This record gives sequence, C-alpha cells and structure tokens, in this order.
Amino acid sequence: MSHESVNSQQLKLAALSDALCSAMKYGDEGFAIAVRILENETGQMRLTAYHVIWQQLDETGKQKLLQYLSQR
Amino acid sequence: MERLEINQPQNYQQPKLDRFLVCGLGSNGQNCVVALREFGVKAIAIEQVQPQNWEIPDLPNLLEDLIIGDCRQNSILLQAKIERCRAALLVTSNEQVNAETALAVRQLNPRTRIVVRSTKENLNRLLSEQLGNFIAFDPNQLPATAFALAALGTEVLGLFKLDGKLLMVGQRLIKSGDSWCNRFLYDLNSRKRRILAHLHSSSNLPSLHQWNPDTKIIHGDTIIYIEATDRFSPDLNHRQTSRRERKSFGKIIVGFWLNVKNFTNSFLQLSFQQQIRRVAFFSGIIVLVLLLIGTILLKWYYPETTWFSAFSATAILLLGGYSDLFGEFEPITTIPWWLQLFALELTVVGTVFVGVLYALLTEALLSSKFQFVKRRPPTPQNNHVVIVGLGRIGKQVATLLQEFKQAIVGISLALDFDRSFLPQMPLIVGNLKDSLPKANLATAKSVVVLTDDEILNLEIALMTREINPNSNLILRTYGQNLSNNWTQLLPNAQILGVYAVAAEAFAAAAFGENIIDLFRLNNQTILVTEYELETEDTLNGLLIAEVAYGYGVVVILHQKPSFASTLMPSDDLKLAVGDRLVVLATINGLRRVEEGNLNLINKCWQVRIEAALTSDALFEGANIISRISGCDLNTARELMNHLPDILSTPLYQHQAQRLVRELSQCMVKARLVALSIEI
Repeated sequence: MSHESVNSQQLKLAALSDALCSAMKYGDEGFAIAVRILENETGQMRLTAYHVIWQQLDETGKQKLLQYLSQR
Repeated sequence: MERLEINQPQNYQQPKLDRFLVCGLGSNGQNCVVALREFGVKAIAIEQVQPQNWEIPDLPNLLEDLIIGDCRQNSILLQAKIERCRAALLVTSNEQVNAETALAVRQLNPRTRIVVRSTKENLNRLLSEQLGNFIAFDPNQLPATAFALAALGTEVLGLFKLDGKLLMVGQRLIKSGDSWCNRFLYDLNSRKRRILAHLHSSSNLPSLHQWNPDTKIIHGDTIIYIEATDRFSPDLNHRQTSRRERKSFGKIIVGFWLNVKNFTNSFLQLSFQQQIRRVAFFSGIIVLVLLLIGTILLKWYYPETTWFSAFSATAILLLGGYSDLFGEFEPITTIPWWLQLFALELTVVGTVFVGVLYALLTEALLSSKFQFVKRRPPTPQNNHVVIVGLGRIGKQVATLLQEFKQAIVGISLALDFDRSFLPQMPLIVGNLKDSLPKANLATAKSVVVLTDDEILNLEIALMTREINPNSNLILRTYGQNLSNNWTQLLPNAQILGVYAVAAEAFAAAAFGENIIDLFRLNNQTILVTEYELETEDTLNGLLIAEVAYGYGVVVILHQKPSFASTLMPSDDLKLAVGDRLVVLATINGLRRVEEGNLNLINKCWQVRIEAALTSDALFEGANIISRISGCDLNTARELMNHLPDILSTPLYQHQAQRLVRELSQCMVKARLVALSIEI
C-alpha cells in the first residue's frame, strides 16, 4: 500500500472518529445519528465507528447499542 | 500475449456498475439468479424464448428484468444495460453461444466481469488472456469431489490442494478413549488444524465458529475440522481388511464359489432375458443334440468304426459337408436311404443353426471393435462403490475414487462407452436390468447415481434402496423441485443438485472472487474462496480474527506479497493491500464480505484485567492485549498501569477467551465480562 493511500485511510478514520465523538455529545439524538453513520459504513470504517461509539457509552448504553443492532 | 483492442469510449464519466446479467435461464441459469439473490442483488436475464414453466416457481419475482432474444446480439445486450453490468453470467447450455456472447460483452463493456459456463479448458485459458476479468467453470466438474467424498461414506467431507499442500475437511465422532477426548476445543487448533464446528450428540450441526473454545470434548461429540495433511488415506480400515482377506485360503475358496455362482446365475438370467442370447442358447442346444444323435446312429450302423470317426462325420454334415460324404452321383447302396436322408437333414438343419451361431459370433467380435485390451478386474464382492452413469461427472468421480484407493465398479448404460477408460476399474456396460445385478449391489458400501436422466436416477435409487437399504446412496439431480421431493422420498440419501451447488460458485465468481473448490457441510455449500486485497477492499485493515468472526468465514491461508503463504494463520495478523487470503465461507459469509457488513452484535465481549503478578507480566500483558485486540499499544500500556480495569475495545468471544488464556500464561489475572442483551 502506498504512503498516500495509508495516509488517506488514516485521515478518513480520524475524521470519522471526530464526527462520532462530536455526535455522541448530544444525548439520544446524537446517539441516533452516530448509529446511522455506523450503519452506513463498511469494513474497517464500520469497525472503527463501532469501537468509537462503544467507548463513549456506559453499560446501559452498550446494551442499548447491541439491542439496536440486533433489530436491524 | 496482447489483449483484444477494446472500443473503449473516451472522455465521459463511466457509469456505475451495479447490475448483474444472466444469459440463459435453464436450470443452471435459474439457480444462478437465486444465488445472486442470496447476495442481495437482482439480476437481468436474457433468454431466447419465453419460458413456459419455471423450475424455480418464484423466479420471475427475483428478476429485475427478463429480455427475450439472442444474447449474442449487441442490441439485446444493450437493452440489458450491459454498460452498467458489473458481471455477466453466460450459462446457456450451448458453449459456442457462451463464447460468442463473452466476446460481444467485452466489446461493449471492458469492465464487466465475465463468468462463463464452459468445459473447454484450453479455450477458457485463451479467452481469459485475451479478454481479461474472465473466469469459466464447468458446472458438472465443480461438485465432482463432493460426490466422490460422499461415496466414501467416511469422515472426509472435503479435500483440496492449496499452494501444493493437501487440505482435508474431516468429521470426527469422539469415542471413549479417543485422543481428543477430555481436551479443550481451543487446544485442537494448531498450525495445521482449525476447528470448524462442534456438536454434542443431541444437537444439530451449528454454523462455522458457533462453538465455545473452552468446552471440554466428551464421548459422543462430533468435531468438524480442516487439517493440512501429507498423504490422504480415506479408508485405512477397509484396506487392512482387504489385506487380511487375501491371506485367508478359506475366503479364497468361498470367493471362487461365489464367482462361479454369480456367473452361472447371471448367465442364466441373461440367456432368458435377452432375445438374442436366447436364440444363441437354443441354436447351440439343437446343434449339440443333433451331433449326439448323429454320432450314436453312425456308430450303431457301423459298429467297426470308432466313436471319433462317427463324431467327425456328424460334425462334417452339420457344417454343411453333405457333398463331402455323399458327393457321388451314382447310387450308394451300402448306406440305407433313411440314413442318407438323415445326413441330408443334418446338413440342412446344421447350416441354419450353425449359421446363427456364426452370425452371433461375428456380431460379438464386431461390437467389441477388436479392442483386445487388458482384461478388467472382476466386480468387487463387497464394501465397494458402485458408480452408475459414466458421463463426464461419472468419469471424474470414478477417477477420484480410484485415486482414493477405493474398490469401485462402473456401470455405463451407453453401449458405445469408451472401453479404454480407467482400465483397472471393473466395468459393466449394458442396459439397467442386465447391469445392476452384476454389480453386487446388495453388498455395496455406496451407490453413486450420476446418469443424465433424473427419472432414471430416481428409478435406480429406488431399486438400490430395495436391494440394499443400508448402502450409502448418493444421487445427482438438476432441478430444485426434484431435489426437494426426493429428499422426502429417500430420506437417507445424499441428493446433490449439480446446478444448485455450482450456481453458488458462479454467483460468488460474479463478484470477483476466485472460487478454488467447494464441499458440502450440513447441507450447505462451503466455498473455498481466494481474495487479493485491494485498496477499497472490505477486508483491508482488519485483523484476521475480525474477518473470521465478523464475516463468519474461516481463514485458512494468508500470504503477504513476496512472502511464502502460511496455512492456518494467526488470528492476530492485520491485513493490508496486496495480501492474499483464502477462506472457507458459505454464500452468506461471502455476501457479508462483499457488503463489508461485519457482524457487530457478537463483538460484545469485554475483558477485565485484574492484576499483573510481576513487572514483566505488566509489560508482556500490554503486548498481548495490543496484539490480540488490535488496540493501540499505548492504550494497552495505559490500561496495564491502571489496574484493575476493563479493556475498552470490545472483542468477539473466541478473541476474548484467547486473550484471557494468554494473559494468564504470562501471570496476568483477567476475566471475561459478557454483556447480555434481550433480543
């Protein structure tokens, strides 16, 4: 993989993390937006989005996230 | 070799490739549409005439569009929006049409992946070089190994080669005293072996990865695994038995007597069953009777002559030699008139019946085409595999079973069958009624029915069940409907729909994957699929563990560019562009990879690190956490410096359990924290 594409991927991941962290600050509405972003991502971006959201949540929030994903 | 010059339009934005085209809606084509649907896409189909009956009743609803016309014509392909087709599956039953359509498709869209049904290996290779992004399959060849392995009736479910190494998928029923008994499941995974599934005696076979690594194996469990092996011996016990049998003189005598009895029985049955043989039988009897009467009469009338002279004179008369004995025109007074008349009668009758025998002998010689090839071995007496139908797939199955050192007998219902095929295989050629009794069906281990006629296959299957209800019966079908109905009719038979199985490989190939092989596991097709990672790949940047548990596939080979490939790679390797990966996957798993749809619900296991018992454990523990979970090393060190705490990265169950095990080995206390949800 070229350095450019590695950098580009890292930038995308960083931007995604920032966007999700920002969204998660806005309570339930922010959570809903974050989950919608997660749903639209694939592969490594999807996994990163999940990790970022997970790490922002308490135990109840994590359960809520899993519940939401299981219903999709 | 230079590629064809493609008329590629310049200077305009290329349309998005979001459609799939299926040319030919026979059984293979219909199954391809269904398999594509499994991937979540609808196909456009081209068929020459409007189908009157659908083999798959709901098929029209699965199609985005159906175009009636000749798929070789550019206008029809354009109507099917070929410029937007990501892949074209050319699966008509006419290989020439498929090849011509492939050329037309490539002229119209250089980006479309072409998947062709074809048996012509050389042509396929040349077309692949010329056209690019082209792959061809023979739908009959793909399931051949599955048929052969099913016929073994052993624990081998799959067998294929990867980078020159033989890999075997096996099923092992754990008996008391088994070396795997009382071991943990995780303990069986090694550099050469991966566990695919585990079931207790009472449960159904679960999907890939649905087993708990910390489970202790007990008597009655069944383990499905894949293993690299140096040599394949599917049926060692049987071969040992055969060797013992050869040593036993008593069994030789019994075998000889059985041979004689079988020969006599079959001869008698054939003589009365077949018109032509009955004529030969009666002609021979009449000639013998006349020979006997003539010899006795001549000896009685001329007591001074010998028995042999009387016999010779009668034989001469029967062979039309009346003139040789009574050729003089002058009256013969020494021989009474009635004896002369009897001699004339012998000649007339002998000419007729000996003529019949000559004719039959000539016919037999001509039909054998003077192929005085080495005599084939006799039909095995027991524990053998009977292959009925030696078409293309039958020949492949027979060849594979011979390679597996199985006792087999082939039955060809085609009288013009190439008799030089597999000279070491016992062969029976003829119609069904005559052939089946000769194959020792009653004592056969397995019967594989592979003729091109489905109804005939059913008839043979029912006959087999009647004669030998305990045999392992494997049946070839083409249509989905028949497969479903036959499963009810023949509950213990293994019924493989050739096109349904092959269609999954065609559909997967349409998405760009290279399908190396396939095998059947728990009535599902497992595709051995190869990936080469590209920049936008949904596998890129993931740990092998995340690929395996997230997409529900089993990674069996990994290769970094310009490095040697590794079998059963570690779960902790991170994938990058250029890597080569071979996985075992169902079509559902491949669809997940295609969509990048990682399963996240199962990634809910947390690990709580309690304490590190030494300073080395503190350092090494962080390394292990970072390696297995994929988290940043600094994050792992931070965690180890603030114990007790929970690792912030959620893990899949197998990943989390392995992390706890490895941490405990380096003196770090850790435990699993499962998050339960009500679904």
